[in-house]
Amino acid sequence: MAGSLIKIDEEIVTSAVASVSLLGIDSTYDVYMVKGNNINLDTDGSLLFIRTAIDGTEQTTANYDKAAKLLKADTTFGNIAVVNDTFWYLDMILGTGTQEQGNFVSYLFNWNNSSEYSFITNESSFINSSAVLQGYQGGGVYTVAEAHNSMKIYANSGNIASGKFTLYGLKK
Amino acid sequence: MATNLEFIKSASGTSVSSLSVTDCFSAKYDVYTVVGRGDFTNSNAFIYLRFLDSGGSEVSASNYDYANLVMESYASFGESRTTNADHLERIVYSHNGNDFGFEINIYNPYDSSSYSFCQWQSGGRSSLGLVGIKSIGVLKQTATMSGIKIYNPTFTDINVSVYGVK
Repeated sequence: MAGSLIKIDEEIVTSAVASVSLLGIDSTYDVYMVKGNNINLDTDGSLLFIRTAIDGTEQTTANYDKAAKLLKADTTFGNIAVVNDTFWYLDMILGTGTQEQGNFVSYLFNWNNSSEYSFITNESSFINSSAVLQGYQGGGVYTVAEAHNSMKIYANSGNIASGKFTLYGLKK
Repeated sequence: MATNLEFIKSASGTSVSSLSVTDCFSAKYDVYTVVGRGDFTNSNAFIYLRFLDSGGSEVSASNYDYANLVMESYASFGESRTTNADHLERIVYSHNGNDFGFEINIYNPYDSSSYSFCQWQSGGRSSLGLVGIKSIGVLKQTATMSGIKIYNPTFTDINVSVYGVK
């Protein structure tokens, strides 16, 4: 594992931005990893989304399928199962209160392969807008066989106030 | 080519009731991957985790929240959750003599202005069969953490390695 993770792109948000684009996915690697930490949104109750993109232009068609477990520290876990959505989740409902921040790691498979669907796995740990620890654990697929070289990460409402987002490639 | 998953240190023990990995967090990284393996002598026991503060002392205050999805090969999946605990629980569930393994992602432990978040996944074998666990956790303290302590059962052997994601 050591010596096999190569940083491709990084964006550190210190003042509010509408979205983050991470670029540089190509055929060099089959598997990529994206991580985010210390993520704060500027609108209470907003969610953090991710979409595939081509040259930084997000794909908005209803081809995003996802299935996940939403772990909750205060009550029964939830299930998320959606087909033909227009986005995937990274973190769920974030708030603007103290330490209501998100952190995640996702792995990306076949994103630059024009003959395969693009897959993603999600693991996150965050404190939501009600100050409750939650975690999104699951995966997704974009059901179009096309090559993607980038991604767009954004809030469904408002802006990303702060956070660090990094894209890595895993050596073949 | 420079790489961005950097080995920091490892620790190991035999016939020990706990294992600490000290001074493994620093300002150089904000995300860490911890992997471990071993076995223990107890019957159907959980492994616990506490953070070590900047002075190396374990944080035992009731500031830990966690939630676990417990996937047993011989039963329906289960959920557990606790707020304001004095440790993170269910890192692993295993049984006397059965091997286990785990991976933990830890976010912002050295950042004194942020809580320390984590998520983990593990595999062990109880006396009845395979037990997989996927979990989240947080230490609700805005303080610098320097390491971790793994404890609860008596480990026959245990090895834990910490990597920084740069």
